[in-house]
Amino acid sequence: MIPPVIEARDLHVDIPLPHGRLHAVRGVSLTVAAGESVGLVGESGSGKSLTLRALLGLLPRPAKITSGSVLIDGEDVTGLPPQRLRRRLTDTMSMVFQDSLTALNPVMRVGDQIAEAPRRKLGMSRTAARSTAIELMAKVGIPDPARRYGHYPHEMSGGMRQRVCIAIALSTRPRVILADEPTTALDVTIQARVLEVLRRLRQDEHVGLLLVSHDLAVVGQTCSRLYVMYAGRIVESGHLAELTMVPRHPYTFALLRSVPDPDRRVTRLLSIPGQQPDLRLPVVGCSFAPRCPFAADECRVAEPDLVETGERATACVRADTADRWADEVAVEGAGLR
Amino acid sequence: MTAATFDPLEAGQPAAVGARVRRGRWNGPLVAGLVLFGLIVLCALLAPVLTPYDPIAQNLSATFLPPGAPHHLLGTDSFGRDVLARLLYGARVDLRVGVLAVVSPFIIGSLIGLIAGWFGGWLDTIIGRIVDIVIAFPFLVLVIALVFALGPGTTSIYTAITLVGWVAYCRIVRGQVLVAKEQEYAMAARASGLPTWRILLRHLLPNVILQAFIYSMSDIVLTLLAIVTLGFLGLGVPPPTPDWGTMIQDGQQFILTKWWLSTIPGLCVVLTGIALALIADGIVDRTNR
Amino acid sequence: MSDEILSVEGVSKHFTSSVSLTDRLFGTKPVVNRAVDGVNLVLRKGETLGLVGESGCGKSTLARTIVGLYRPNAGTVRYAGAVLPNRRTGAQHRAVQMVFQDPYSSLNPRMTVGQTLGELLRFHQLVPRNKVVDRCRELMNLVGLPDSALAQRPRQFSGGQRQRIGIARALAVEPTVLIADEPVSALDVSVQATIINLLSDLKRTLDLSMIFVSHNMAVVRQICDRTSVMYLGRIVETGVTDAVFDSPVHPYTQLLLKSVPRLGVPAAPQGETEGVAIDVPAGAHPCRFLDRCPAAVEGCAAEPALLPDPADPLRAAACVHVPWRANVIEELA
Repeated sequence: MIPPVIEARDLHVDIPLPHGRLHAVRGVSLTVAAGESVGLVGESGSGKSLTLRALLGLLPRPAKITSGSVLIDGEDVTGLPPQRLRRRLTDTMSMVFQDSLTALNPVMRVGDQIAEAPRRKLGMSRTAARSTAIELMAKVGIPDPARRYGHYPHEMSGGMRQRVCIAIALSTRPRVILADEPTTALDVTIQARVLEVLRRLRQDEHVGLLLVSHDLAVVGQTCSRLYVMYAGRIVESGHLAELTMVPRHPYTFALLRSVPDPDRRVTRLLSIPGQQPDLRLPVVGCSFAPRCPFAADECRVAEPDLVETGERATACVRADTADRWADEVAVEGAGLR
Repeated sequence: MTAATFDPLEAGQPAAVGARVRRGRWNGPLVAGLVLFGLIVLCALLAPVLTPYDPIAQNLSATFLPPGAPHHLLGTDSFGRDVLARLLYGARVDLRVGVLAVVSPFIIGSLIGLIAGWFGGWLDTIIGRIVDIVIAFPFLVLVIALVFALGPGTTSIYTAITLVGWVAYCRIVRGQVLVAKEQEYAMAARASGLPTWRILLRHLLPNVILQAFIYSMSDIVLTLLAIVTLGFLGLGVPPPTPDWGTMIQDGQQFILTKWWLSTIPGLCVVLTGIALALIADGIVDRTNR
Repeated sequence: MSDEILSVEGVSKHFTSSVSLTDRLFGTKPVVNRAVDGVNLVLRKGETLGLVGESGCGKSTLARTIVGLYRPNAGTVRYAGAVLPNRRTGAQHRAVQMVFQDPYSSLNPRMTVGQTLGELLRFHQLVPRNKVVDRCRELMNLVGLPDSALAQRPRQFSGGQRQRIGIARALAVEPTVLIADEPVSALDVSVQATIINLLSDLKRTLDLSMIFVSHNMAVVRQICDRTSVMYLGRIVETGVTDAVFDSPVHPYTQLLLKSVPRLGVPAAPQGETEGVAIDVPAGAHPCRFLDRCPAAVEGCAAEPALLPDPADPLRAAACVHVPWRANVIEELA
């Protein structure tokens, strides 16, 4: 296995509240290697965005990491003094946000925004930074980059702006790009192109990609390895093909079947009733048990550990019954609505 | 909104039915403001109980007594009138004038703003121009001119302040309506065939009035100050009726030697302002939480 | 056709940018945005018609025009054969109802769910006054929410629950046609499925006809009987859903379908097609898809009309490449 560039170990993130706290991320461990594209899927509130931000030290106030560590090239950086930590994190990773309009400075030319990091961080001359920026713009598929250099964000379409954001992310020469729902705000045809840009970067530049999305199809199309997150924990992980072929956690199973297929009409989509547990309260038993069609009594006793078998990991005590789930759903289909 | 502000509930933590932790209906600022304002109102109402003196009775043998003088807790003024008594009776006048002179511009301005924002078109243009014209003049100049034309007295003050003051409310509410009417709940109300007046009063007004209400809290203080200024020009509350503005005005000529004559009523104005600001803060908190 | 319940005939809706009086004196012309430009649609009783397209294609504007929120600049909307006037009566409003997109702004934050529903029931006098609460409970039941929800305000609910409330509000006035404007696009995938299932169940049990507006091709495929694809204010392709999805004829429909992310299928590499440069004579109205079309030819300099397929009365497309074009021309000759 290729050694990971970044690794999170047992990361916990809390959001302090006026009365108590919200335990938003509960022991997440994940790795991203160079040139690898990794997906992190979960519904909103599952803690996937917070995990991503925790990795880059960009947690929004008042959320904070309460325990766990972030490793870069196998070295624990969590203990570094803040200035050096920040430097170390931003040298290794950069981030692409969902909303390209608010992520860009509205009164600064997009080219200058891309050239800023090469100038300030890499110490390039003005002209060198400019040509680097134009190069990056070409790389992310912005047509006629020399002319677009002088455009302002509002003069560009959403897809072009998101490409500018990717170019900015690339401008620090990161080894891993963290992308938080980068295409959610875009139209499908534009989304396809932006995802294509991200895929190409991984291939050509050997940049690692950690893509966070609620849309399994988007992640499944772009990534080779997947982490499925639910209620602040990773409940299943593994290679895309294995995970989607034989999901071994009921949440992954249900998620796969709730995604509508554009090529096939099904009589009824599988929907997951109920909601995620309230993470302000302690979780008793498996956090998915209340919504799980296959839950047994043992599921409500203790929260199952994430058990690793090879490159696959599953947090479900009933994982061994996974091959029967499809039939069970077919039988009690009505009850699953 | 930037990434720096963060609401865990907005971030998608599911809000289970009824499980949401709510900030109490009574929050700190609201309680503090209401208590303070309540005390001021109570003092005004209980003026005859709290002091044995007549606020306009002169006693030329006991002028300029300092605070703490026997029988005169806060001293006396240049005519030997008890400062405490004048303060308490003055509160009656000022609170009444201040609140009343804000209520009618608040109602009239908000309604006009509601209509202008909702209907738009030529109606909005005309109202907008009138607002521009009124705003083009300094507030006080216009009020003074109007009071002068209408003759002194509290009724003229109300009328003048209403005629000038409604524009602020109109602008605030109109701006809010322009946003709110594009919200889907307003569209939904229209699509379900509810009559316009009902949509305006029941669906829009409660959602747009908050800003205007907050403004009205500070407007009461501004109105008190306007009345002070009118008093200075002899167009305010006619003497010898006690009011804080007149008291500040009268005390001003002795400010270096008899500082309490101006300072104490000044403090009262400040306290009232703080109380109203706290109430506004508390109400914002209560509705936004 | 006799089973038509709603029809849209040549509807256009243009938005004009406001230009201040002084700018007008200096000759600034207002910019006209032809959000919807001459659209024809027919909704038949009991069917679900999908209206797909990307942002800015005019699908939401059309939906709002149909429910009477916008006055069309041209064309008419008919309900059960009768033209719906600009000022609709209560009954006309009630007949065609809308489910809105944004579960966060579509409910009045100052009113409880019970007040929102109760107001409609009372105003339209749908049930006797003493039965209003019972009916509200019934509506909650219908959309799968507990009675206790009636006493709560919108902010206490999750996105999926709010969308259920939005559906209950639309159903409160007992409509026969439901226009769902992107009802699931703001929701998580797992919640999307519950709302889609709810809508299709309700449609069946309450005997509704529905126009389902969405940018999500996969969702449209699941619940729509017929699908119309919109591009820049016009319908470019329409037909039975399976036909449109399995054998799209318009290059735009093809592009849309190719772009939909599919699990585990690496998307076909997409060239940065800027389209083939076609000379457009001054003053001509070219095909609106021209500058993005990979298959543009000289004939695209004139905007193609929506051409029905002689073999399939429900199918039509607006493109010079439409395969049945030759047959139609032959027939005419």
